[in-house]
Amino acid sequence: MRRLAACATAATLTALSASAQTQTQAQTTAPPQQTAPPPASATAVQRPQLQNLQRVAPPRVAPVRGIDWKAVQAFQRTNDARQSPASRILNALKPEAVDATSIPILLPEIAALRDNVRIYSFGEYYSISFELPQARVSLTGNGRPIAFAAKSRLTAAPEGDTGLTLQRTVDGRVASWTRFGVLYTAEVTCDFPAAPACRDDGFLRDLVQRHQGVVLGRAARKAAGFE
Amino acid sequence: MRMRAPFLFALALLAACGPTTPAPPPVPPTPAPAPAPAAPAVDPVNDGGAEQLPEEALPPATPAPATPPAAPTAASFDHLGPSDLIPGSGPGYTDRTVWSPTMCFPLEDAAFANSQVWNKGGSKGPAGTWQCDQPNYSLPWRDNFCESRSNSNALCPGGSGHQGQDIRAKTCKKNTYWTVAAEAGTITNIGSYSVTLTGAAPPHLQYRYLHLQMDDLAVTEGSVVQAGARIGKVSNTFGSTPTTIHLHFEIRAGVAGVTSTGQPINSLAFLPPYLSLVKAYDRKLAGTPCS
Repeated sequence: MRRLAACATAATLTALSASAQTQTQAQTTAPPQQTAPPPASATAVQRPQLQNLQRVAPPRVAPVRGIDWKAVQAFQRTNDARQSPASRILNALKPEAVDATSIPILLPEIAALRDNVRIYSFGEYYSISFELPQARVSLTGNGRPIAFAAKSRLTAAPEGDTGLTLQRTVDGRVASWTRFGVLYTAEVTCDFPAAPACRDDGFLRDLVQRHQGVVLGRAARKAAGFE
Repeated sequence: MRMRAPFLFALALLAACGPTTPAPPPVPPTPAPAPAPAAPAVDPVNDGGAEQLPEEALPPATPAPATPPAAPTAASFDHLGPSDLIPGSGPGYTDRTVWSPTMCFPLEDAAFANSQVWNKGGSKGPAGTWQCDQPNYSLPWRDNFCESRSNSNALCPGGSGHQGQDIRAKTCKKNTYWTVAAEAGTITNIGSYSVTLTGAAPPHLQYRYLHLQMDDLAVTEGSVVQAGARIGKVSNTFGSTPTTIHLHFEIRAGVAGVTSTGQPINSLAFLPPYLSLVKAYDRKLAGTPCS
């Protein structure tokens, strides 16, 4: 009986040791070569609470310093877009969009202008688009720019009375300047960087200089108190 | 060695029990390592790299700002803080303003914001790597606004730098993943490889989407869109030379401020989009619909 018990114990010990040995061998064997990890999960580490997400203040829009309507009137006496070479582009714009714009619309005189000129009015902001050979032009007027905190300085060198700045973009160039208290921009985008309109500032400077026509739509005349 | 001794001892005991002791079960051999799976099939593309002509020199490196980058926001997906650019890739711009606080995340699916120039497969990335390498499609996100570039950016030290954020789509497959409108507005301009969305509400932010598949856009100029509406698919269009597959995303606005020399200035400015994107992605992951 004692021999039988001893053999049973030995068999049990053997089985246990064999199992332990198998596990030991698995641990000491080098792990399989790492395969490419599965696509990373983009799930949140911790689901954010909706109320926490809403505690964000929007950027402060600059207070309306007032458009200099007197300056607009004075300029319009000699530069009314309806009687100037800029009338060509004015006549191509949708009248209802012009009338919906509450700021002076500044327009360039362009000889090589195609007929398809589009204006999109947002009241105190407008955007005009048209094509030229090898370039697309976008003009904007903005009566309510964002106020930048004084400590957040911009590295730029505004030029002249209008504070003209010229910037190079990924696909072209953009000019910004101020007139009558309104921020205007003219942007050109090209099919390739070496295109004549984009390879340097020359085309854009000339385009800015050509902005010699102003028009006031119905909303602008009302905002100015002219009617 | 210590584990083998009890085994041998047990074997010896078992041998003493009789002439026909059963042998212990054989230890199964360790399986051979599985071969790494083949790289996913993607369209072969040129790693165009930097969004500027190769022969153009980058502006001189400007030192990183003294202020350390902000810590990542709490309760969010894995992302580095704003202005925490890849070391040596550019000065960044330390700004914690969320310029578009209710923005709809501009991609329909999961996305990975990281540099397409300085990461794997980029023109300044590690040699021998590929834009489709997995780390490019992994968290954490990393800001790359004001990464070194020769394009203008008045917010970057020196006045030049990356004007937006590079964002890779869910996988490295072009012409597949949709970009969507960041807010309600109008498509006011479509260029050779860019689409501009102007927000309907003040301050009329301009959102620019670059390098889309331009021959299959969901919009045309003049399209009035709601937040979340499809615009175009992430691709690698960049004129005559393709870039890497990614969305270059910009937020622009007219700003009234002061120059570094104290001069008042009104100008179109490139705003840092990173935190707006982080917050928008948080909302997306939380299931908040774009509206």
